[in-house]
Amino acid sequence: MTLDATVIVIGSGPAGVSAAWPLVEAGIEVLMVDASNGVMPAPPAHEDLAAWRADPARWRAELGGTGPLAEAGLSPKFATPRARATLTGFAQASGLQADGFHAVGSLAAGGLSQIWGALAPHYSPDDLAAFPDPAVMAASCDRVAERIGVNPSAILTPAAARVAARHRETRDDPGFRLGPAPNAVLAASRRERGGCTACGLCLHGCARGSIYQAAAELPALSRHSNFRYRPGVRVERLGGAAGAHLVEARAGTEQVSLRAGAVVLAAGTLATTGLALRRLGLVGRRVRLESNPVGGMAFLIPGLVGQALPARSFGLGQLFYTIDVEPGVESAGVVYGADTLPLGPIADRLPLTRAAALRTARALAPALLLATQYLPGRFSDNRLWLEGDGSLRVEGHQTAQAQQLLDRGFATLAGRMRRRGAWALPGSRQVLTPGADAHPAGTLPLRGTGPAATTATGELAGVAGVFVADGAALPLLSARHPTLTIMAQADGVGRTLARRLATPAMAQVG
Amino acid sequence: MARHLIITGGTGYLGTALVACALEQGRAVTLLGRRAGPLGTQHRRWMLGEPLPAEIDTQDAALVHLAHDWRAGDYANVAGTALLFASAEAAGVASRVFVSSQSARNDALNRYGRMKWAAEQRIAGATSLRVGLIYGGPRVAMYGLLCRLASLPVLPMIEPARAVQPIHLGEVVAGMLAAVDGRGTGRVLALAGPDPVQFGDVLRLFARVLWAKRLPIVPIPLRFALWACELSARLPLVPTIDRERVLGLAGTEPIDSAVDLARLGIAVRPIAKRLAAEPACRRALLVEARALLRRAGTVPTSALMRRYARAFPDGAMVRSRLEPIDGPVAARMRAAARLAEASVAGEARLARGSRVGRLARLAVDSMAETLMLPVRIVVTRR
Repeated sequence: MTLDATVIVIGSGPAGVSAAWPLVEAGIEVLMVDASNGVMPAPPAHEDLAAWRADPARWRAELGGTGPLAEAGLSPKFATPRARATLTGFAQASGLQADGFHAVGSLAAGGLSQIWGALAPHYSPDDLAAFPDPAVMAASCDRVAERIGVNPSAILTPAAARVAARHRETRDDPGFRLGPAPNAVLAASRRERGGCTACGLCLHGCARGSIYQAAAELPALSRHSNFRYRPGVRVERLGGAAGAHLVEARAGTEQVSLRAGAVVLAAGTLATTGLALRRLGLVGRRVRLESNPVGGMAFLIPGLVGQALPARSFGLGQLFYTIDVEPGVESAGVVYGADTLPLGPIADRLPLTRAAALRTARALAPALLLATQYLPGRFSDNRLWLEGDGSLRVEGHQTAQAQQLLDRGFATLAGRMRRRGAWALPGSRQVLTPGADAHPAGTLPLRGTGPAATTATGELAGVAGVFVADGAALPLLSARHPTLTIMAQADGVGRTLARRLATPAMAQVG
Repeated sequence: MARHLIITGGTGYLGTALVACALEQGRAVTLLGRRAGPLGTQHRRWMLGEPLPAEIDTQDAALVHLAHDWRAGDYANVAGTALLFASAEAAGVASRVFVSSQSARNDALNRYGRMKWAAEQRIAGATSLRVGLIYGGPRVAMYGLLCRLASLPVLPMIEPARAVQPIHLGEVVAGMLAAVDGRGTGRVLALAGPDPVQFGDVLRLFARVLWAKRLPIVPIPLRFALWACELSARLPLVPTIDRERVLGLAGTEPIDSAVDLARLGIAVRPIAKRLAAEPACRRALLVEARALLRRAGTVPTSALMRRYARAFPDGAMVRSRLEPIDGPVAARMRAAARLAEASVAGEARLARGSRVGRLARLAVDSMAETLMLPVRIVVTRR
């Protein structure tokens, strides 16, 4: 039987790319497919924020050309043309209906990394203890961090810099840790990616490639003759046929069927789970879906009110903190500056007449810090299941405990920030819909005991030769942003599979 | 498809639109009546009470009878219609369409309704279209009157809760042409919006999307209105109120039109969606865009105004001097502010000045706004 590839990797996001690298480097024939079918809007080519703000076409980019004005909604990063192109079509393509849950996924090349905040903290040793082999995971984390270029945020806006400076002078606050955000952003140029020039347009996509995004690794992978990439292939189901795995997909209007010795699922948690449940024939079985309960609040540094907005800045996370909310419960969050954001969402919250609200928001923006706070996934309460008609359903609930812990965390954060010169803005605290974190995970946990789970090596329990490389297989969703850990786990899956395929006796997998 | 339309009443509100559409579709049009029609149409002098002029080419022809003579008596209208249809049938006009009214009933309150009903009975083999409340297009006829009424500061109205079934002029024309081409031949069909709307709400909608104002309606009893008609007829120097119109408004009964619309193959959009696309309503929305963008602190360019208009397909809102804290008008102010902030002029205004200037402005703003806030809350409370 002829195979289309030894291994088919489904998805070109951070997980797919991370799983592909070890396989490709081991000389194994890899075919990567994703459902992308269009080009992403080019990132703005403006020199800096000042040039962007002066561009007469800016309103079209920020608010869209037709229909209701694009709403920032849950996060300003969801309101850009880039975000619209990244998120569009996903729910429809995957037949997804969500209730009480903000379901995100992407068909784009590079997946959600097209619009991620690039925050890539390491899981704590306690977190890693939940993984089958913590030492191997730690090594994978380091390897991935090196590959994607994780650096403590080098460029701080004046507001964040003040807090950081006061933090250095402050005696230790037990249970509160604060530092520059560990971002996958290059400070200096490396190969194809340019170093960050603090143009401040991060939200709209980085024209220099300083911010890591997975699709940018595709050219490097493609330089290997044993790697092929095929976009526009939306996988609908997996099957098995005589010693080979069958990947049934739709390419445009055409039905395609691909064969491989092994399949790596990296389509993003929601899409991957749909494919896995369909493969397992688990219709109607409710599977636990973890997400990080998340909220946000705003702080003001009075000494900076009224300053002019900077011409250059950095639009991603400035500071990263963790709080011991209660013994054994760590929350984590990021502090952003407001000087790179559109003022609309800030002005919207002021009960003033609009012109005054805009002026006020403008005067406050340089002095504002916006903090998010995430709780570990175990405090989420969401279910995902496959309907008989093949559609995917998600139901989310915010638990009272999550609400309580977030409140407590925000109270602690307010106190700690106050000692560092930042005043919490009354009324700015808000808790977001489950799923708004965009960290859905843990539906097919490693060594899980439910009907849908993966083995210690990431192989789908009951279906040898199908591996889960994305967030779906996380055995634990920490409060810390999970991307780096997901990539490390995918790296581990790639390595395991490469080892197996390298042993001739084992070449026949699945 | 009927190649040749013979139309009576072709220069009125409905007739003009029908003629224009028929010509656009490449049909030949002959107008019967006192006045000639636009370029491209034939004209034959004709009056209600006369048969179809003999010299008219009736091959592939269809008759659409719209004319109604208000000055002639009941009998003249009914008998004239019957004569016209009989002569048309005799001359070989296969498709004959009579434009009737939603108020057509044996026991209608108004004469017009009774007359239309009587005429329907005398034209066997023809299609009768009972047309609902027509809106859209040039502001003349009943539509024009309603537009003017909606501009009044207060509107005394008989039975504002009375259900009417608005239908757009274009939709009526499409329905008439479908009937001309033989859909629903020989039946009495309802050509009216499928979902009844309160008459008062229609006028309030007119007031909002056309005049950007609220329309307080004072309901008046029918008896009182008829008495006012009588009084106005007796008093010198007071314009006479037409008793017939009052009864026409009061006497309309809802009709079930969904099946008939399907039979004609016509989709009727809700008035709340369609009215806002009328040029006059679009202009009102652009005026609103200009006002709100200016208020939000930018120079309203036409591109910005059009963008604002695209965001609100429901048409203009009631404007107020003070900005409400929340509600639909506040949402529009926020949209205007978003556009203002992202525009060149808005950005320039926000960016100008020194830090001292900005802090001073912030102090002034917060004082003024603090004083104004309670007023805004009280005044704009719904």
